[in-house]
Amino acid sequence: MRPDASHKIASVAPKKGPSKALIATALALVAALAIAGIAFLSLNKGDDDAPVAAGNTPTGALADGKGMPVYADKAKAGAKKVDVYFDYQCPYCKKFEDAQGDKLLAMAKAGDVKLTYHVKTFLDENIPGDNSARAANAAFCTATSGKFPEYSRELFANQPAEGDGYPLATLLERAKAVGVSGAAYDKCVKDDRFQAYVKKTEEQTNKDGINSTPSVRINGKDVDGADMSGLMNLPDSQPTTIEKVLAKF
Amino acid sequence: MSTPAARPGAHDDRGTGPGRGGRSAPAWTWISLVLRLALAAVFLIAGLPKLGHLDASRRSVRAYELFSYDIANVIGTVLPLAEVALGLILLVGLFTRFAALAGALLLVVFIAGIASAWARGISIDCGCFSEGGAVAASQTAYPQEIARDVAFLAVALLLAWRPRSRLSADQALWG
Repeated sequence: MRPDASHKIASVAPKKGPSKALIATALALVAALAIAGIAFLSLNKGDDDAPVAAGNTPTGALADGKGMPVYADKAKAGAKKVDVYFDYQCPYCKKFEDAQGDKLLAMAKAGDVKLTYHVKTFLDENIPGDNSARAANAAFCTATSGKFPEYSRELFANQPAEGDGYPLATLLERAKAVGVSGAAYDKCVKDDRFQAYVKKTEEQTNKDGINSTPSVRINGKDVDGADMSGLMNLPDSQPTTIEKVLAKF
Repeated sequence: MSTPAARPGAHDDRGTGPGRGGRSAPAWTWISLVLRLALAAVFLIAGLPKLGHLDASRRSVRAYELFSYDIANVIGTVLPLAEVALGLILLVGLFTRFAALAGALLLVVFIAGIASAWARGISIDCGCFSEGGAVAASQTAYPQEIARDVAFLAVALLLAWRPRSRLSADQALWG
């Protein structure tokens, strides 16, 4: 009689183990629920669809974060529309502003372009603190005195090293340098008066497809990467001027 | 292990070759362990840092200009979570073949995305292991990014071919 081999066979057979289908289903369910839950919460705390109250819109700014036009009343008929997107903490924005900022402002003042600034704050996501947002608010506060463009230039001209941020004292000091001071201004800066508008601007520019700064749009079309590098005078770029770029649009 | 011929009628030892649901040669289970851990590392290293910066992840996806604003935001939010989940099941070695195939599918999508950005002439960083988004035209690295993802894809496909690996939950549960 052959010896009973069932024992031996069982020892080499694959382990039965728990049901694969059961584990897979349970795991997939848990993962799907967790991912959907986290995604839902994260996406929902982002955008706020409520419009910004008129009283909380900076002087001269377009409603709902659509930008801050400067010298809009000066623009001649047929002047090209120039939209500039920057973040006060962005070092490349400083390069752009250093090279083209004064010239662009002069052109806007002369009515040769219709210039609108869009103040983004996305660097706050990666740099600890809320320096971009507070600087943006402080800039909008100067609009009450009609000094937004000057203050913007002043902030970029004295931009702190990336990461150092804009302490309150710096924001107030720069305002004084362009002739804005007093209790009302200080309060506007300290209270974060235009916080909602700042947030809305970030959302609006994201929706408009601005994923980096500095960005420039002329008559609604993006200035391409090569020209942007040229406008910032980056090494290994073909230097260009805002006049030459404007002529292309 | 005895050969199948010596034990006719014995339980399913015929499929000794890899790829037939059978047992890989012992050496392969070690190779597969290395492949599995490497792939787990790729997805965990890519996904974990993005969890704290989901806004940046969403912007990276928007920068590809392939999807509408809302869809891109959903993808940018879900993708890091999916990468981490995939990394974790690869790390413990559960459903290894399925995980490797899912990883391969993701990598094919990534390669297609990068190639499409390249072909359309937009200048972005792929946002694979860091925040992506627009970069200067001279800063793009499309060939390198694609080559890297093709290498990862090869790892994923090899692992899907021979999923049995040492120190895996699969092995502990089902032998």
